[in-house]
Amino acid sequence: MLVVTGCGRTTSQHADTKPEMALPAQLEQGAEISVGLARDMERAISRVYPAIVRLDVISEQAADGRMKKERGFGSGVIIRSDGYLITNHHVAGRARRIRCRLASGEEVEGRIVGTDPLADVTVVRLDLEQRKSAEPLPTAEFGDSDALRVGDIVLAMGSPGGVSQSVTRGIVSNTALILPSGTLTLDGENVGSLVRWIAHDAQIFGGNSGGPLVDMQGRIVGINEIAFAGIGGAIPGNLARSIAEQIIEKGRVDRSWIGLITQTRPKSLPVEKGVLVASVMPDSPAEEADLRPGDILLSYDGVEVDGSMPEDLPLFNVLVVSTPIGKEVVVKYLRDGEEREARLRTRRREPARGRDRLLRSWGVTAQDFTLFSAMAYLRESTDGVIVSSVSAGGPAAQAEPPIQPGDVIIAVEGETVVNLEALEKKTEKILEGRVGAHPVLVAFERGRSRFLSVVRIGQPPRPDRPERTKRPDFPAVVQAVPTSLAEVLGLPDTGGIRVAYVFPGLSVDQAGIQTDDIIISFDGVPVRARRPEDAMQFVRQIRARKSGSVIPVELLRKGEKIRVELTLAESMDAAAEADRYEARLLDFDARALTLQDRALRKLPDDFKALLVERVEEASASELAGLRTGDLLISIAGRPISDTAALEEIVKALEKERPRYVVLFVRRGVNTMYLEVEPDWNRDHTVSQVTGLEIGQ
Amino acid sequence: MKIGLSLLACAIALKSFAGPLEDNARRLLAEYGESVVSFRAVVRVEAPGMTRGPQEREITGWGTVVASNGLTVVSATSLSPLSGLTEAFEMTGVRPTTSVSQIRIRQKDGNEIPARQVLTDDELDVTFLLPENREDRSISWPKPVVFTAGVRAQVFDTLIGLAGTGEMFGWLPAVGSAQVNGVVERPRRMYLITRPFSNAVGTPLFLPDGRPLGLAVVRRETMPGRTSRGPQVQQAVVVLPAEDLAEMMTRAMKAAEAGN
Repeated sequence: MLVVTGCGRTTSQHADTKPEMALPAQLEQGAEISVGLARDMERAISRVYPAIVRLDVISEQAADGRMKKERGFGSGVIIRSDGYLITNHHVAGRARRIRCRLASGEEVEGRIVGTDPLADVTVVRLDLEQRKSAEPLPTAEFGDSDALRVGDIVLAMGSPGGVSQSVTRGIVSNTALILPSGTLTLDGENVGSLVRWIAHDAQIFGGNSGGPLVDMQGRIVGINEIAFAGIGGAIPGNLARSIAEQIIEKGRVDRSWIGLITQTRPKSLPVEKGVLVASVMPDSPAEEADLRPGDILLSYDGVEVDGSMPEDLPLFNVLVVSTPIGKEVVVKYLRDGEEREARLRTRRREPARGRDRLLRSWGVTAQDFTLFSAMAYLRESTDGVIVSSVSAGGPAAQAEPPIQPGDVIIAVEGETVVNLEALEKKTEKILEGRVGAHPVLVAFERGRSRFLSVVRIGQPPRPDRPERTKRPDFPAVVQAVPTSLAEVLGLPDTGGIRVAYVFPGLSVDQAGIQTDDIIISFDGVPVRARRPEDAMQFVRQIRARKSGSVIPVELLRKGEKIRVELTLAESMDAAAEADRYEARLLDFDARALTLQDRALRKLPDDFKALLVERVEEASASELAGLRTGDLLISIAGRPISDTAALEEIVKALEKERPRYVVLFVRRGVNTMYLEVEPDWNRDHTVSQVTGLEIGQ
Repeated sequence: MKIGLSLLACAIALKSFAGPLEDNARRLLAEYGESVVSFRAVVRVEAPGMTRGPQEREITGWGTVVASNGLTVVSATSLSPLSGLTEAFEMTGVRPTTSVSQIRIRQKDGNEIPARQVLTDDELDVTFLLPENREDRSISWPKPVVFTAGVRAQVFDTLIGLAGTGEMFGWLPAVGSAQVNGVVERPRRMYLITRPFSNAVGTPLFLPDGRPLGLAVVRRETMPGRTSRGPQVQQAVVVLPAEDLAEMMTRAMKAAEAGN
């Protein structure tokens, strides 16, 4: 585990293990105070509530050799009138798309300005050009979270469960809540190494994350992040504000690193103060300064430090990471009972791990090494590319030997791979002007071993579309006639097949067989069907015959025997062969309606629509409410008569690029309009987001 | 013309064995052991509402070489795990799609030959694979197993089954015996057997005299629900008779020619 040592300018204070108890003054002043309390609350709410935002986020996560999309909800609060809002990294830090609903009900897109997994803070900027209102954007102000005391009344605001904005009330339960180390890890960063949460009992749920914790003066004192056992935990407002300010100014958070892992002092150590050095990272400023495991740090950059209890360590870490990068720092420490002094120069802190990117032509997702991930891999440099996930059917998985998650690609075609960008360029160069797959020699490391493999990078082979044997079918719904039913219907107790429904226009219908008919003989052989499986066998037998055969069928219709001839025809299940179109731009597939579709849905012959067969998960169309099985009647007012019409409309939309595309669909017996906001710039958006990384 | 020559060659190779079961089993193993080949492929399953999106995985299975150009018959279920379940899924309102790619047939020397599907029949549970580079003269295919009409078995007959041992034992060919437990006539003829191998489908079974009786395949039925639980899928390994395979092979050859 990487415990990142940090800095902090104001860490002479101790952990709040014995907080000064501050009973709300209102409790001591009788019932009339409740009126004042209500007034205070109303004022506090009115100051922040208009600035809270519900975030509807499409994020991406590496899995199975793809960047899989996920939809989530969270909250945020607008902190600047030019459109900046603060939320959690775990809400929006990996967003590909963010839809923001303001308290006024307006909806605008947001884009990530910068994100910080270590403190779980992300800053999003609203696209104000999308606003229709001319009203100034409401904002909320930060208060001083250090001034909070246990027992203070606080309000939690946000969108629990992704529903409308809401407010709950509680009191501060603890001002320095810590979690066991590593309990909350985001992108490899241990959030608890920096954050001591403000615990409170204002009810929060999933969806409140990123929303503000507000004091009774209507100021942000925390950003809600966690909840457990009825207690909520908010990132202190002061920490969140300082991070947000850096992100707004630079698009990133700069932090220092000295290469120490620290822990609380063992109780057996005869020392009253100081932070115990547990480990010193190789080639780090701390190692260069000759700091060693067992040293007790007494001060850092002139600030006394302590590690008597777990609550102290985040303060020390904040002190270290907040030191200006490259600053020479004096560290005083105890070794063998003797007080010593060391000078070290801080370096820029890198992220715990690189950000995943898709290498489509390899069928993998991969990431660069950072200093920390290289150390975790026991590597001497950050050269190479870590494979984070592999598509089972992709080129890497099908290579000989296959490449697996965790492998490190170190060379392609004999050329060293320094990082992901180099690998992308090399891949592009290899595939330039080529069609299909191309074999390349790849060297990769797995543990201490170095393997060679041949990977056929490029377009993966298309799936086979084999010819399918067509067999005759019985286009009707049938049921066996058990003894009990035969008795009630006054039928002879020989069983039979009752026709429950006839698909119109197909062979059974054409033979003149009708609903309620009882089939008593088929091809001269009496039909004795009493159990449900007999009905199934009846249909199976037909499938074993040849198409075009003419079969005499004897029926009972209203007590009379009727004889018809059934000409067996091939399967009516034409769905597999129906025309279909993959509307990638709108993230759905649709196909032509079959006779069976029309029959099952009782659609008139002149009803024109396509059947939606697939809707991409977390896509704009799914967000708009499009579902598999919907009948697509029109797009943007243009009727959809067939797949060619759909293709034409989609191509036209690609040129027009409207913000909204309205789909008119039928679901069940109802029709409805669905408003899709296509992600016209999605590739651009992805590169924007993936380019954001803290401390690089 | 090429097809005709292949079939002729196969027909000449067909002969009956005489003697004790053990001897015949050993002879069959020697003659056709390598005709049972393994394959691997990538299957992709996609369905609305799948929480993790489309799923891909590599599958492996067994097949039987049935022509001198390497045409191989496999159980459709082993290649496409949702084969034969269309009805069951339709009753639940979900229609998953499966696609298969990157099929490779393994040869005795470990070489893998890319292949494609030319014909599939969900009802019979067979799919025919045609090697892509079958014109390559350096590739030699094992002696094909020739299925012909008119070969039948009765209840309690003993059968000889061939299969392979898999990667654990270096793909060693293996032989086992089975017994006919029942003969199903409707909706079509098929044999219920004790299985000579626990997991092999797509592998041939022979009569003791050496004539191929059929292929081990999976029979799946979506049984109508008797309770509120709805339809239930039942399945069993059965022997698909040689006459069905012979007919399908003729179609497969035509499909292969058409595909060229």
